[in-house]
Amino acid sequence: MAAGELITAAVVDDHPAIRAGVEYWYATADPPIRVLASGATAAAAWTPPGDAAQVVVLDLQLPGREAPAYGELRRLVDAGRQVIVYTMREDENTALTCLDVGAFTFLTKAEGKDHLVAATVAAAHDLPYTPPALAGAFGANRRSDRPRLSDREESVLIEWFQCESKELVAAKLGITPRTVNTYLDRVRIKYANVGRRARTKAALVARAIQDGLVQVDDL
Amino acid sequence: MAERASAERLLGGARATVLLIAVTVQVCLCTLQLLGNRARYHPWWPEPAAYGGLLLVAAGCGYFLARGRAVPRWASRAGVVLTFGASVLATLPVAPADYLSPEHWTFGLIGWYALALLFDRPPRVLGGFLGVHVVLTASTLVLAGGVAAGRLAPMAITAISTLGFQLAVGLAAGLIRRIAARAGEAAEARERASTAETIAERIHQDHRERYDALLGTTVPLLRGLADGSLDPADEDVTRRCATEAARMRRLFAEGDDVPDRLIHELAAVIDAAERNGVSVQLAVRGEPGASAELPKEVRRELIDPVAAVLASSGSAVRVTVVRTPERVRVSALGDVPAMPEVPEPMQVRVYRLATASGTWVEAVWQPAN
Repeated sequence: MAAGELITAAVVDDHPAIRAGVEYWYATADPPIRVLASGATAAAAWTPPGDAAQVVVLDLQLPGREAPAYGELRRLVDAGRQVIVYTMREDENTALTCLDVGAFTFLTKAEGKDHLVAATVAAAHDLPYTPPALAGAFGANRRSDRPRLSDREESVLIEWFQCESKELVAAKLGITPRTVNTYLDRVRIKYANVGRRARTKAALVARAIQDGLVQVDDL
Repeated sequence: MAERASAERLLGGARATVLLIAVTVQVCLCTLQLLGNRARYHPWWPEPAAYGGLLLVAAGCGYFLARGRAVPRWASRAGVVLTFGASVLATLPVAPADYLSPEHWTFGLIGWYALALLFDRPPRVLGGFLGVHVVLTASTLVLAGGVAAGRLAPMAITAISTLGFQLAVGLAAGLIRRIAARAGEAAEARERASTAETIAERIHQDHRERYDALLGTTVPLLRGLADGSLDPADEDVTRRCATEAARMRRLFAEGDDVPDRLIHELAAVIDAAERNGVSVQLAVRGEPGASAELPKEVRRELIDPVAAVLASSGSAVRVTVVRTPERVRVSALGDVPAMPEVPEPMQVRVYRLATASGTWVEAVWQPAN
């Protein structure tokens, strides 16, 4: 993506107030993010102009469905889209399942503007992003297929989940906020690596190796 | 428990006695009658066959008796059929004139077997058996060609005295069963009462402990408010009141029977804070696992620091719980200027971090390895 060009997004949420709110947050972000299309169903992300959006913000609860929209998520991921799951659901199982399916990241609606904007920017640039709710899910994850984390990585995850402030985590652990970010990114890469084959994984891993976050031998 | 056992012993003894009577009558009395009158049966073979059949019934009853249990329904049904079969089989070769006399040895005997088989059924079942017995005997008598009218009266007297005696024993058995059942019930009622007493004692002790927990902090606060030495408008007093309210809510919640006690008690503390206008965001990660069974003291020590932050916080607090098999962490982040006082924990580690924007506490419990 060329510098100076606006990041573009499509917003899929069954609630008009949420769509309007996200559009407002994006419009007032610095730099602003352009919403190409928004709608109550995934059609907004598949049809022009939404099909050209770099990032898709997807609610898991779509109209007329009881179950979370994992199918929609999978189709978007398989088509090579960067999908941010943006949901009311809090539990770690939903978070981990979304990553398994290939979501770029998992954000709860309680997490607010800053995380959504930051995650959208990260998704547009193929940079990892781990919001606190997702970090909590990583930290408490005891599934058999979870990646191997170091003690420090685990405590960074949990403390980031607990306080939502990188400065506080850094102060508590006696490291710099930048290092906190490095740990979070490294864990996200490890998770991308154990997930299914998807653009998310390939892009994140490639980027991580470029940035020296992980060595090829680590993977 | 002792009463229940003696009730069982009483029933077992009565069952054994009835069976013993049946077997003794058959072996000591009927054998002689059978062998002595051998020439009067035409043909002879049904007699030893019926004799063997009844011994089989005796063996069956003895089997269940030895295991200390009542004859099950299916077995008593089979036994009744076998007994009637033996009776009819043994009666057929008997001449009509010999009915109810010593040659007709099964007539008096099978009532004792019925008693043994039907001991644990209501007495009317035994009555039914004896009634059917009389009807069957009368039917075979009619089939065999009947008997002179003059013989009927003595036959009726014999039948009534024999069967009446057996029925009376059956009624007595019913009485024994009722007494045994009542003794068992009384024992159970006593046991329930003693359990309830123990529970009440525990609850009382629990209440005392909780009262003691409040004694040092809540009572002086209330006393101060009552005698005017503490000003409710004072910020510090307000904060202490909020803290005590939260502690009391947690102590109330301790008595509840819920699957996830830690979260339940935490929710009680959060509820108290929310009533004071604090907006609380609670996020939980991980399965309850070992923490579902955390001791009361550990739960208190995990929640106390969080409660302190909640009680003195002005607007918003983030409370989190993270549970893994290795650790349980409870944390609160609030806009509290200084870390409030919390009693020194014994079993958990508490971390405090105060910054310009607020205070962050984390209580961590690690199961002993």
